[in-house]
Amino acid sequence: MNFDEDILQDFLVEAKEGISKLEEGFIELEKDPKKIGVLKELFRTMHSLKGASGFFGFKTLESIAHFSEDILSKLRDGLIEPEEDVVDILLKAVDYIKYIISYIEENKVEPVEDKILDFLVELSNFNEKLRKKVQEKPKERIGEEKIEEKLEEKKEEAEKKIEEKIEEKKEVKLVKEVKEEKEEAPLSPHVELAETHIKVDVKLLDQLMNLAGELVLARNRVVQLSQKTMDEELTRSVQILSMITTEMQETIMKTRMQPIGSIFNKFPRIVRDLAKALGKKVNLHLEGTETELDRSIIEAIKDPLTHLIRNAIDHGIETPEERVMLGKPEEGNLILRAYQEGGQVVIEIDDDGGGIDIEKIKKKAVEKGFMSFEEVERASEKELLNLIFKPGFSTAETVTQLSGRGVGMDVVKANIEKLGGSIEINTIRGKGTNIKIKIPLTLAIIPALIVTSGDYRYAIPQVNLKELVNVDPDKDLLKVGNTEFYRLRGEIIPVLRLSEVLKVNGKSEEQRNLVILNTGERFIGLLVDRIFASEEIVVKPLGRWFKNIPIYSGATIMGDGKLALILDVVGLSQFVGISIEEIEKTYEGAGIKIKTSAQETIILLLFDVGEERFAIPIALISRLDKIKANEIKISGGKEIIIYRDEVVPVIRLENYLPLKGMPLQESYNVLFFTERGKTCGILCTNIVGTLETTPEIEEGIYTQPGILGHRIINGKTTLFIDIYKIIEMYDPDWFIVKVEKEKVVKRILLAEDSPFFRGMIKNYLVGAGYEVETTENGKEALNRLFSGKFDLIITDLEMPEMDGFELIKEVRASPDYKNIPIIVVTSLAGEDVRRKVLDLGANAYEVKLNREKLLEEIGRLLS
Amino acid sequence: MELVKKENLEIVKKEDTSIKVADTITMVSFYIGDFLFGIPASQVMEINKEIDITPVPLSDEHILGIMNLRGQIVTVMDLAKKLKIDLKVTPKLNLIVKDEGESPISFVIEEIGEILEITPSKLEKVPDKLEGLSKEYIKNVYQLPDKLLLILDIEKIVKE
Repeated sequence: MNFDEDILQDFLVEAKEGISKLEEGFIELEKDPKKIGVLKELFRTMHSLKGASGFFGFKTLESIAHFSEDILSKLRDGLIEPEEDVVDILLKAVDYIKYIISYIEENKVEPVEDKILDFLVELSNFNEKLRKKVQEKPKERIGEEKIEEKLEEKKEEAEKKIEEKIEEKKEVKLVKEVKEEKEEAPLSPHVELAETHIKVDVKLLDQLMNLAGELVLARNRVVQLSQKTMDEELTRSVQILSMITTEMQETIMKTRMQPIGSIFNKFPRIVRDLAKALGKKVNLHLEGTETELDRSIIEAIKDPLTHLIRNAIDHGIETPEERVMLGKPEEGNLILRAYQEGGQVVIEIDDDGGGIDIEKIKKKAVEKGFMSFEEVERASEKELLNLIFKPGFSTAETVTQLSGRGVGMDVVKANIEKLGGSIEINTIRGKGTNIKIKIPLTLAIIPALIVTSGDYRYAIPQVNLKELVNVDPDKDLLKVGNTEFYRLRGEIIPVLRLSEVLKVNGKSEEQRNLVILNTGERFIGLLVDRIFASEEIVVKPLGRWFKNIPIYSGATIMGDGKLALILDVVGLSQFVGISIEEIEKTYEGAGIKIKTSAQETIILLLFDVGEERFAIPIALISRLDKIKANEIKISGGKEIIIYRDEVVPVIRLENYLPLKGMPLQESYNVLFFTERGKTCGILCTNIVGTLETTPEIEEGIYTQPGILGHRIINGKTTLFIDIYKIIEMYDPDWFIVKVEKEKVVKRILLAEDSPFFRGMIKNYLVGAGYEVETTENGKEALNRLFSGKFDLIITDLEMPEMDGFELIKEVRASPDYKNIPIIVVTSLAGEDVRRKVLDLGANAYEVKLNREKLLEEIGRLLS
Repeated sequence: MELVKKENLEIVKKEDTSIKVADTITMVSFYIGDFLFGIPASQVMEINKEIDITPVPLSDEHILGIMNLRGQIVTVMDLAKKLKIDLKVTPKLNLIVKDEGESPISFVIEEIGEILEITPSKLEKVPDKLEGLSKEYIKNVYQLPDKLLLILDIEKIVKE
């Protein structure tokens, strides 16, 4: 038989579509065997596959499809039930079909292999067995059954012939055709759907993307020119052009997006097979399948996800017997969830299995030499869990055939990081494990920080960026051997000079800008000449000549048409000569304390307004940026800026605090504060830097609404501002939630030793309409509790005299107060602490600076 | 099996016709130093002057950097360095050549020459006496009335 390459291609494409339809269909069928619609669809798909393979003369394929179709027709007619063995053999058939199709794709001919023929025999025998079973059943439709029998006889003949690999099949075909006609008749008429989708070559889309990017650049040039000529009509036309261009670019971006469901839908089959092989019962829930991602990411995420799901079933979910013993439902739950969060897509894999055994990890870490015994004892749960991602670390006691296929979690992590993503494990022993993967929406466009070395610009992906520090290289950098280091809040970070890595000749300007980068494994500092703003860049690959240079991950075209290379942070870290461990050793020998004590610390952002210096916990600030003075506009009597397409009111501290105020500046730094989707900006002269310190403050001299207290930092009086109070002064309605205030004011008892936190928390609780009594430690709180009436207790953990743990115990032990809700606020974030306080009887556990969450929790507990 | 046979047949047919129709090959010629080089015109995309080149530190010596050709990142190669021709200055003219399946590549050249029609049957082996450049990247030579045209092995230059 002669046929064209094109037609074969069409066949292969169609066959592949058919296969995925079949797989989905079978899984659905197992869930709800009564779905006649699914059966009909399966039958149709199998039927057309049979027809097409017959046309091409793929005889084995045709035979497999034929027997499968036969079984399906019996299912459809209700002659047999979709029992497990039936579905099993049909799925197996799909597997073989898949295999044959991929073989044909490569070799253009069918594979001739014993295992396929063996399966064909098995399939045919199974079919035969079914046929007999059907015949034994009491016959309901005698007339039809007679024809059926006759047909069956002829088919039996045909089957034998196939088994014997006799080519002559005309007779069979004839019979089949007769039968098909009969079968097709009772089917509901096929509903013709209007064509709303077409297939487009991805290359074409990529090209469109490219062109759109170019159009944007060309547009920018036209806009500039039109501004020069000041022609009104031209300006108007250019504006329209501009709008259309933007819209077009966005639309083209969308064409590359695909719902994540296209890979999620492959998992029901994998989960089913795996659970069966391991003798477990697993119920897979898919959530957020419509979440869209760039197609290149979708492809790349498939293998890591498969691996994680395998792990969850193999190591996470217990056997049905174990589960019943533990009082859990027999069937384990596995949730695969996708959703968008802040420009990223989050994929969670959530199981309610046994969780990860931290003790086992500890043991293994010592055994395999990843950590010393002392280190293990000191390490946090998070550090221990992260060991799982190290090469050569596996917690499975015996490597099973399924999850131990040579790829470990280290590969999973590496693959996700290659996409600019991150992975995080949370686990509760006995309750289950949650794995959270965060990946960018698209690989093609990423936010990046633009820096310079010499005359050229370089882009650093924002995901790798930790923070920016202004340093004096002579004073702040330490040198060990040939490597320089910077001490960031007690942590030793190796520093690279970009100009040296790049071997740029000539002395460049003094480098004071240190960019702290996160490679996923560790932090490194990169000293650059200058830092520009953050930009969204379009990532373009570099040619084959640059593949062996590890420090680049691509290039991008900047707004002015010039190019900037994109730096690969992991590649850069290879240039660090000395390992941190060596440094720590050197310093430990010299008796320098590296780790900060376990004392409570916060990270402060220091900034100046005019001549005054201020501090605010950095956790409260959502963003930092620079704006030009002329970007500040007046609207409705208030100063605002347009920031990222959003109107953001700006607040000048001098309007609310007795300050001299700022001189007129060309540009200002803005601290953005966001809560519940509302953002405002605080204008400041310049950002001094960050500092990790204890939240000690002195009250008195400067204390007034908006100021919590002061402290001398680096020889300068620094005022700690109460941002909640200031925003409230700016706009009394800012924090008011549209919930009717209760008639009875609820009373809250707050135990917190730090005046800084005490003041801040009290202020925002009062602002939210509560009455608050403050105490400085657990003992005081307990005395106060017994002498007054309170509706809720909020307590810190680390306090003098009596700490939070003790306080919870005491309160819960007293018969009068054992039911009063207690919220623990802390800066000690950690699963173990959380569990401990909840075990002691606290109702909730929140991080101090998260006002929104805390208020939400109070509301919940008091309602 | 029949499919494979048919494929072969088609290829043979194609070759037949191409030889019959194209008696000559169009070549773009250009100068670097004292040498005259030729590249099949079908592989040349365009010739461009003075495009901004962004250097890529740490790359090979004969790679000058990358440039922006209407939104495509094009690698710029110093052909003189690659061919080990001794030149005092780096040329400025960009000859942009297709690279199958990849982004195009640009060779910097000194001066563009004539467009030539050459007869493939008259192509000769690279003579031993040719000196002053590395001969491994020259595929053939073609004797012009006054000069020897060196036909470049683009594939080898690009891949090695």
